[in-house]
Amino acid sequence: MNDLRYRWRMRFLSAAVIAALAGLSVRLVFLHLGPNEALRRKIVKTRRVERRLRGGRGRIFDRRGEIMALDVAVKNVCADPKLLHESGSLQAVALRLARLLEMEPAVLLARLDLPRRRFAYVKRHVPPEVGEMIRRMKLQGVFFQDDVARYYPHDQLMCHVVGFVNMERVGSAGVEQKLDRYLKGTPGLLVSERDGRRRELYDRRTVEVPASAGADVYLTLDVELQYMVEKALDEAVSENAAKGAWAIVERVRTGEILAMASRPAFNPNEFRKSDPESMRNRAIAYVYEPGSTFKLAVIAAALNEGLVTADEVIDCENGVWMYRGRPLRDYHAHGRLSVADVLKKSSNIGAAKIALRLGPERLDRYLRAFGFGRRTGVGLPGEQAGILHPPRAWSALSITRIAMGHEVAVTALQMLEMACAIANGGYLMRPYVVRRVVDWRGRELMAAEPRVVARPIREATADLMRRLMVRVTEPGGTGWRAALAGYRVAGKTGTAQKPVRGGYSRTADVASFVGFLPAEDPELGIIVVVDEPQPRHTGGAVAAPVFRKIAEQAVRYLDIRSPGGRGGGLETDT
Amino acid sequence: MARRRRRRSRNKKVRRDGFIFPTPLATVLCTAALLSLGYLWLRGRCDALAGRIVVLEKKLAETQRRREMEEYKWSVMKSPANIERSLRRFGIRMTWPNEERVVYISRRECERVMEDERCAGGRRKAREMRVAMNE
Repeated sequence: MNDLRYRWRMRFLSAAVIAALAGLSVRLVFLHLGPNEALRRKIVKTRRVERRLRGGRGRIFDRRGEIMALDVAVKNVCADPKLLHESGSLQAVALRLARLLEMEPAVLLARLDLPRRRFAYVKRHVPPEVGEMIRRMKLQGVFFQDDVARYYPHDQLMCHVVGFVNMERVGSAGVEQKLDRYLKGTPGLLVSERDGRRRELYDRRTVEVPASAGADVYLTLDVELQYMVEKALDEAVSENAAKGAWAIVERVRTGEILAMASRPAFNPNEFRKSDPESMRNRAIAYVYEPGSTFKLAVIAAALNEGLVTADEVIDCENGVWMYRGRPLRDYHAHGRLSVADVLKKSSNIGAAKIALRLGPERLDRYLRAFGFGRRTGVGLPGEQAGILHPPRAWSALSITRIAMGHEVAVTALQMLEMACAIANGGYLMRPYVVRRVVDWRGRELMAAEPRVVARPIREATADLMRRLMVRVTEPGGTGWRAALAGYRVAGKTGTAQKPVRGGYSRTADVASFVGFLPAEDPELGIIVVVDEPQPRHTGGAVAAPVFRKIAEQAVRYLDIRSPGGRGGGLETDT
Repeated sequence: MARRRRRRSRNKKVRRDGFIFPTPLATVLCTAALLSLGYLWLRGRCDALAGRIVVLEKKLAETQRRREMEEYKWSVMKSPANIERSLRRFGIRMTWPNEERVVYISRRECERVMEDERCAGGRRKAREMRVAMNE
């Protein structure tokens, strides 16, 4: 009896197992061979991995290989507000996160107080260490995203030249913007599958396009020199209660920009908090009436044309000259001055009379040959061309006003180029800030070479102008404060009243000094411009000391030695 | 003729005694088995290598991330403003040396000094050896 029952049980059990297995087999067959497209698509979608591979943005280096900008892997801290609400841990999580992320708890609470949302950023671009600390806290509803951030290790140093990238990682200022096509890398693509533990299966990779990193950019600027210049400008701004100040240091023979600074400045790491005005690179984007520094171009043109000689005497009318019914004044009254002294004493009347000898057409030709009225092509965005009207648009008085640096508008870089052309035997060089661009394989994609743009004056004229400019920094000259012990400095001061509606301001000036050294064999050209200095306002009193401060450190840092020291080399008697 | 036919039929009877696995089939099956095993072994190797490649890829990405971070930190530390801050913190004031205190050494002079040093070093060593040998 028992045997029989047992046998039946066994049969029943076997039948049940066979039926179950058959059912499963049928289901399996249906699943695999049946019309289950939607299901298959879902499975494929779950297993599929599609990842964009990061092609990091290239780095920016200074001339000595110091990193000015680089990509750093960071974390975005994210949260699931709905989950936080449901679990009732919103307050506690917000407080703990706020403490670690140095945020206001109220701000964070407001950010997470979205009960219907499943995603919210707590904070973007958090350093990996901080991210790790948060991860260890194992907070429910808090998770991370890998991201990349652009960092500028020197903060505001060289900010106007380096520029910054926006949140979409597109270059938005400076070299970052100008060379965006080189700097941005090409992202790669990876299409593959993953297993049940969400691990990628290497042998199921169907697409693998490797990412290529962006090219590295090497600047001509030197971070140490830049620091010296920026420090000198900061001091100048605070000492003179100035609205702003900017300076450029250039290698005379090549046109390489060694330093370019502008105040006010901004921190590219926090560009969103910066005032747009502070982002303006005034060295190339601020046009101003140059004042007396412009006399260099006028006198150089007249000497080159042979219309005057350095020792020719000009009547400076004791400070006031009526020309076409309008008075033209000198800052200090002078009687008769030689052309050399017109430059040394910076006589407006003397310069106007020299310009009249040149005539509008010739003066215009020379000014354009010196590069005024057009961009220098320095390789930075936002460069201004300045204003130089054609002679047909000049009034009868214009030529006398242009001679003293009014009725024209220039950038500091244009003025420096003109001075450097004089220093460089009359050759006007193209200034540049990017030395070379190298891709991730080490191939050179771009290399800047010194390039002559024009030769407005002959070498003999340039030589004579150099000697005349040295006299400006000697005792009795307007730029004596720019003189440097052991070196001969050639330069010119400039003070220009700022144009206001209906005339010129009596209180707001632009003080400048442009020069080069050593005068015997020029190596460095420097321009310093100070905007609205108070209470002193002349280029000689405000900008010349800043020039000296920069120059004395630059010659030591760059090991520029005077060919003969003071008293040797260059004869200044005219 | 009849004898030959009888012999053949006897031989056939001998062959029918047991089942003999056909050699060509055995060869094919063995080859297939070997190939399958080889395939399985290679597949296993590939899987192991693939796993290792994925791990190394992750490691490379992590190393690159760390390198970037270290580069950034190093650049921040080296920045002129930071160095100046550190010097100020420790009360160190640095100035440029006077020009007359700067000594310029030419390459030739440098080589001569190094040669002298080398000779002096040799002489010192010889003297020490003589002392050691109780000369």
